[in-house]
Amino acid sequence: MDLDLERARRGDRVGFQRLVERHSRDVFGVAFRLTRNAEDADDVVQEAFIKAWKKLPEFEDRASFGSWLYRIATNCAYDLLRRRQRRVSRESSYDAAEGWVEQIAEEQDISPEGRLAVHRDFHRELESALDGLTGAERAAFVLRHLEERPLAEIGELLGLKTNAAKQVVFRAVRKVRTQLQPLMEASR
Amino acid sequence: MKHATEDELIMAYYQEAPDDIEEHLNSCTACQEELEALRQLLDRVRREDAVVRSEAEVDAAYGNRVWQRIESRLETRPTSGRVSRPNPSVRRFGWLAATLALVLGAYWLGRQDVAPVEIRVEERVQPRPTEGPEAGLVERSEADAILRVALVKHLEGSGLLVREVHNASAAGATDRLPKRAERLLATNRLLRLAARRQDPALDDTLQELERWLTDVAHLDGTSAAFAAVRSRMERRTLLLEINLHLKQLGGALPAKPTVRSPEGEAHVQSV
Repeated sequence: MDLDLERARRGDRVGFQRLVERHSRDVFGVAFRLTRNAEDADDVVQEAFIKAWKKLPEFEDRASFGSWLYRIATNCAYDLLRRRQRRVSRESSYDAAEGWVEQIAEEQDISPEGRLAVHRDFHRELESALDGLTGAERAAFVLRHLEERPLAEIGELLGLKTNAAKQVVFRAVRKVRTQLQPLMEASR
Repeated sequence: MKHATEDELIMAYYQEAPDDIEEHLNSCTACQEELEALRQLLDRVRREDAVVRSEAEVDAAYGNRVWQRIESRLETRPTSGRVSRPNPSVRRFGWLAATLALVLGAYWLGRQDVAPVEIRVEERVQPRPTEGPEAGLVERSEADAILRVALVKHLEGSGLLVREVHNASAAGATDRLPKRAERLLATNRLLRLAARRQDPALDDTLQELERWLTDVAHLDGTSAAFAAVRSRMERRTLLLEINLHLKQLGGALPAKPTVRSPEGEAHVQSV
């Protein structure tokens, strides 16, 4: 049994502080994937831990604290996505992307400048495609495609039956594909 | 056999396709090409995600910063795991007592931050029927009126702080603004508890205000922290939201932020 967890369950703040310090980075990772925005992800991390503190007495030993927290964070991010359907500019990530573009430079036969332009277009279109999804579609797509979570778990997180969750994933993939396919074809 | 549908191709990509679809894909060149195109696209989305995630990596001290921000927002929990539930009759009337306690507490805290104004709750409250079906409704309208006054006071004080942060510099912002933010934060938490059932939009604004106030309360004099505070309030157009709620609540709208030029002239700024 995790001693920090046990202390936190009994209402000990020091124990909970240690859990926060241990798990914050992982929670930020999934929150960022879902929100695609560092400030929103930071909000989700804080909300998730505040909720976790409230719900800790209900936490059951058979679950891993990390998985339990992951679910809380996903729900917080999903709530935020539903509340805020907004478009976010992510121009700053283009610079960070340049290293990756150089790395794949050998794989394609267009000039480095051309590759970067194609990559930027792809990045922009991907963000736009994700922004165009509903909160449920975006959460389902990120959880299935990027977090590689099983459909049953996604359904549980989104409050849907497994088959309904699968349909939401299909719909999200179709929308993303519709927006990105022309770029893929243009870069071939 | 018919070609695989797009959904079946998606299932195949995730290795969840039924056997008959898998068999078809093994023998149909056209479907294999379609699946390959889908694979290239979705794999590229994964690579793109890896780039974006690497950009957003947080350092090892991140957990400590999270703790600093949430510590004061954690409710006190009983030290045992068991939580007692009030009996139904206590629950029925408990909300009114709780709301009044929260609102009065919030109002008291609000008085620490801004100059008190005259409260004319009695003007809105009709003579109270002591019996009959309307008795409870009147009690509720009193609580609502008090809550409204406390909300107006709090939003006015918060709007004032937003304007001051807008006009402050990174170094100057640490003088007194964090302490005021701390006091408003305490009021904000109480008002959120009281208002959250009544108005989801207001609750959303108070929630955002709480995050913003937390950031202001933790200003450390660095330009990065100050820029984050400014960015957050501009991103959500916080003052605009506060003004909208004030308008709905019938409160006075805080004036637009002003900046003093070196010559001492005041200029109106938009936030």
